[in-house]
Amino acid sequence: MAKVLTDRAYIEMNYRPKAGLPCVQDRFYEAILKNTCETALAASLFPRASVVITLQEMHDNGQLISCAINAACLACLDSGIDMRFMFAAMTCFLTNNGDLHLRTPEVKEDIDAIFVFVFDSVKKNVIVSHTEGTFKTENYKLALEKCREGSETVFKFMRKEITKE
Amino acid sequence: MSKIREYTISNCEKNFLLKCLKDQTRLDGRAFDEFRNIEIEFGKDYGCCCVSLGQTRVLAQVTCEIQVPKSSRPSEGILNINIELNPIAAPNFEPTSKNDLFTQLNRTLEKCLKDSKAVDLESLCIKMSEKVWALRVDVNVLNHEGNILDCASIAALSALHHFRRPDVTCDGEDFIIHKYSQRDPIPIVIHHYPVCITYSIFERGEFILADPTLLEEGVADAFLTVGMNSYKELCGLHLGGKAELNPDILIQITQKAGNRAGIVVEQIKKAVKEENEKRLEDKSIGFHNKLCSTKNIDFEDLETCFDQWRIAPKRKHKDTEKNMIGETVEEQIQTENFSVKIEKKGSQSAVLVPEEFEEVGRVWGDSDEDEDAVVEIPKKIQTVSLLDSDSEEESTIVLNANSQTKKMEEITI
Amino acid sequence: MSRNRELISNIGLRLDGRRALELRRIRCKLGLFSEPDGSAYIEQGLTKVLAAVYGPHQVRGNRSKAQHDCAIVNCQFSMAVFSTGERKRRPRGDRKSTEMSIHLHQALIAAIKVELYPWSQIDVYVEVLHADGGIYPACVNAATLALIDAGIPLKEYLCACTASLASNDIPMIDISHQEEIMGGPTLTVAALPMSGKVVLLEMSQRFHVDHLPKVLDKALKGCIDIKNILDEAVKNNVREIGSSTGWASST
Repeated sequence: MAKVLTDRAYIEMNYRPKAGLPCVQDRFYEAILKNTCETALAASLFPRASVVITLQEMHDNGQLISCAINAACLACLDSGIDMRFMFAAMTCFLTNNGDLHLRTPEVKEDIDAIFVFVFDSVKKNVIVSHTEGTFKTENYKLALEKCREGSETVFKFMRKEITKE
Repeated sequence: MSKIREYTISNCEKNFLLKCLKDQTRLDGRAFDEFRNIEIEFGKDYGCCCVSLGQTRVLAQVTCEIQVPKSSRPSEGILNINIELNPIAAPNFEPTSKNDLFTQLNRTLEKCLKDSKAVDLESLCIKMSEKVWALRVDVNVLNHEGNILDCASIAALSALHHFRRPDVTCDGEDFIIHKYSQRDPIPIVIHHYPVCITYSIFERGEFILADPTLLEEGVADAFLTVGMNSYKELCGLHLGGKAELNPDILIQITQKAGNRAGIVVEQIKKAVKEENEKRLEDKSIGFHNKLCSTKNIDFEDLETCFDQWRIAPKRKHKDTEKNMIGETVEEQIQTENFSVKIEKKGSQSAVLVPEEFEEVGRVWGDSDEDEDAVVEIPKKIQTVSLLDSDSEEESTIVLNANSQTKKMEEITI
Repeated sequence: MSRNRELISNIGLRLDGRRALELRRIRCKLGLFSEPDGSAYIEQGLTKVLAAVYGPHQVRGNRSKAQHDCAIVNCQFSMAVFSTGERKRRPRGDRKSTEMSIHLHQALIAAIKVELYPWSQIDVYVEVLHADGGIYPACVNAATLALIDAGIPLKEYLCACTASLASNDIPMIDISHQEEIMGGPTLTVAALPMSGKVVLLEMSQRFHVDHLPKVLDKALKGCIDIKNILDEAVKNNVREIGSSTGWASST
């Protein structure tokens, strides 16, 4: 009852890992997801209500956060809840030879930094940015642009899935 | 946050179910001792599997770690089994609360798998009293449509059978744990496969249903879970709920369960074998092969759906610009391509409206056009007689016909 | 844990000198405490259990749990920290204790006439003082006695018993802790002995399903024997109390 918000819906995220009990890392993912959903969902249409989004990890191959965010977007679309825009997440990996990859590299030790960006579908603005590792500013900007282009594929996929069903 | 309450089963549903049982039918058409289909899919990791029993879905993952063994059993490995009732499975499951169902499921599965010594724990020992492998089986419930326990036991067994632990070599003092790429990982030794089989009991043993769905579980007086392996050995037995049973019925149920257990164990072994073969042949493995198949609905099918919508007998009048009476008979035969119109309703949202319903949309949505109509509808109801009307009512009432009443009046005779 | 000791020796005696179908000595006492509405103490062999019953009274705590047509039964199972060989760290709240509470609740609901007390609550607290095998049956029997002492109407006596199978396929009843550890399967049955209905059935470890009928049968017979013993104890108790006010002299 204390979480009731008078002007908007309260958005709650639950993220469950595949193995083991939930830990701080999972709470961190929940925080990122909550931030994304709060901007994307039209929460002011449902005051004093709550929206609960639950995610379950099935398999992790390096792009866990972006996969979770994309899954949350598709779930919101499927549920029919009012949204301001769709959102898509892209991960970019910076390997030690200076290359940027959108696919997870085979050898995990070569990764210097991981960039995760979430874009909206209307203006392609950045909603969320998360980085791990060390990198130069130029790399960050290059990764941002690369991910922005890549997010278009994700939006195409989402639109195709929704219109199919 | 405030709790979402558990779905309460209404008296109507309960009575209907019991009535159907008396007529020897189940709501989903199965026989009383028929089980739902089991589908076992494996993920890319070793020890990851997703099992669905009808609509009930469960994801299991086995992980291993090196730990100090228990002081009372220094040469045995450790096995931890944990079922998580996630909020994703049912709206009333909360991430933090540990209710009765949670305890019951966990304890029954633990007893069935651990106490019956299904997994060979002695083979998990690395160095006595110092290092042993600790296996951890996490079962996540993805969808609760009845009979979580059966599904969970099948998932746990499949995951254990599929799992491979890293190879360990010892050279004197040091232990080296090899990566999966360096040395082939070793599967777990499982002596026998105890699967749980649940039966729901109604009316003090009069009706016994195998593999209950969510509704059947809620209505039942009691349930009996039998843990059995393919050698017809009982590995766990649990009678719960408001039971008052004759012992003969219990014996009867356990006999039936014996046949079922053999079938399920065969299925598990077959599924794991096929999966291992796929891995050897380097075929694509993982959930994306089976779980993510989307259905393609053709546009023609969509069209026929819309047509059904139009053709359904009309009781109330839908205002159209065309002649009303003429349409009621003729439209039923029409199957031409209808046209749809997309109307913008504010920024970033739109409404897809087939042409026929345009007028309706206008009156309903945009009150600025027809403000009076929305408010004064009750007063404007007129009784209009129609020729050749499909309606079986004697007099048809025309609603929200403020601006259209004039037209109606013209048509009436 | 020497595994070369047979559960039943050649002459047919068990580890503690009993025969295969013999119950341990049962001693019980009702009405120990003045505060609870009903209380009882039972000793089955070396297992010692105390039970206390409060009620029926108004639903405390969460009013929304109150039922309009029956009483709610609140069971709490707890083991004293000194009751087992190694000192127990958590007397209640761990998984096993919660499971025991749930099973106790399930058995008692079947025996108590809850429809006589709508909007009320009956509390049953059980404390294990010494655990030597057969904890659950002792708790159920103690709870039954405490309920009788509290004057709560029961459909009939509720009794529980454990049974097991020795290695040469001889069924045994009333399993002690040593016999449990040594690896035999344990079947726990809670039943209403006079009508022969089984209320709760629990089994651990494994044995072949063909043996189930005879083990179950022996367990039910054990329940009937326990019921006779409890009945005797209750009648003695009533006689004692009654004689002080002069009932016994009227018969």
